[in-house]
Amino acid sequence: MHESADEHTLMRILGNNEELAAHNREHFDELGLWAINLMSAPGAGKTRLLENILSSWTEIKPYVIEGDMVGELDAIRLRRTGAEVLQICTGRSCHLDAQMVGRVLHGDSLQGKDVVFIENVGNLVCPAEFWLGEHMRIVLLSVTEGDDKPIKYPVIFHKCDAVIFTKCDLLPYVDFNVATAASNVNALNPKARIFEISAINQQGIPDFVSWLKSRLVKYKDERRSELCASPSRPE
Amino acid sequence: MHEASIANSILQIVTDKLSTTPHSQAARRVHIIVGAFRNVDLDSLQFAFDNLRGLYHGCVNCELEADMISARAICLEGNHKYSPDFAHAFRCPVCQGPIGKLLCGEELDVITITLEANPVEANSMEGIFNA
Repeated sequence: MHESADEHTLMRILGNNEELAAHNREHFDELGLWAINLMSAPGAGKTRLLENILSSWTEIKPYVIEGDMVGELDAIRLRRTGAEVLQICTGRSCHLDAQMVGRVLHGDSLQGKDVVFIENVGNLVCPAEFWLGEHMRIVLLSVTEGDDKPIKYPVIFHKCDAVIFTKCDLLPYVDFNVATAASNVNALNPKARIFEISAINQQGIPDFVSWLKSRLVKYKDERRSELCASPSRPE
Repeated sequence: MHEASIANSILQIVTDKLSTTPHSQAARRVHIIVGAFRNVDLDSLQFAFDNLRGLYHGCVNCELEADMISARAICLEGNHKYSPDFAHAFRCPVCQGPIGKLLCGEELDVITITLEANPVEANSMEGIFNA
C-alpha cells in the first residue's frame, strides 16, 4: 500500500459559489442596483407577481433575470410590460447559481437600471443553497400548496426576508389556514415580513409594492452613506 | 438535484489539494460535515459523488465520508438552547418561541482529505503530509 496521510483542510464546499456571489454583489453595488431573488415552488405565481410589480411600479428602471430549465415563456410574458428581460436556461440544473448570474452582469444592459429582479427556477429546495449576490430574498407560497410547507421546507423559509402568500382569492376553496402558515413561517424566521396577495383581484399588491419602495429607499440611503464614508471618494 | 453541484464542488476541492500537494498521486478519502439545516440529502450526495469522481484526476477511488451535524438554536423568547425539529415545528419545546439564532446546523465543509503518495517518491518523502 502507498503511504497516505490526512490533510486537515477546512474548506467551505460552496465557497466558490459564495466568492462569485460576493463578486456579483460588488457589481450590483457599483451600479447602484438593488437585487431581489424571488423563489418558490413551480406555479406559485412568481411571474404573475412580477407582471404586477412591473406594471404598477413605473418609477423604477427594472431589469429582470429569468431562470428556467427550458424555454423563454416567462421572459416573453414579462417583456410585454416593457421591462428588459434576460433569460437564463439552466438545462438540467434545478437552480440558478452565482456563476450563471455573473455571466450576464457585465454587458451594458444594466447601466441606468435601479432594481434587478431575479426569478429563480421553481423549486423550494435547491435555490436556497445558492446565494446569487442578491440583497433580498423573497419566497412565495401559494395557498393551493398548503399551510404546512414552511415546516416541510424549512431552509428556504429560514433564509428569506419576506414571505408572500399568493392566490389568496382561492382561500374560500382550499384548506389553507393563513394564521397557521404565518405561525409556521414565524417559527423559522420571526423577522420575515408576511404578505397576503391575489394577482386576480389585486388584494395586497399595493401594500407589497409600497414595502418594496421603502426598502429600495433604504438601500439607496445606505449606499449613499457608504460612498460618503469611502476614503477613495473623489473630491 | 443540487447534490450533483455539491459533489462537483467537493471533487474540485480534492483535485485542487492534489495539485498543490507535492508527491501526491491520488485521493483516497474525503471527509465532510453537513449541517441538518442544509438542503442536502446524504444518499443523493453519495450517489452523485460516486458517479462523478471518475471524471476528476486522481479521484476515481476516492471515498466520501459524510457526517451530519444536528442543528442547535437559541429561541427568541426564552433564550433556551434547543434542537429545532419538525416534531415541534422548529419551535422551542420549553416556551414555544421561534428560532432566534442557529448555533450550528448550517455547516457544509470539507474537513479532511486523505492523499496517497506517489510510490516512486514515497520513500524519500516521509513526513511530508504531516508537516
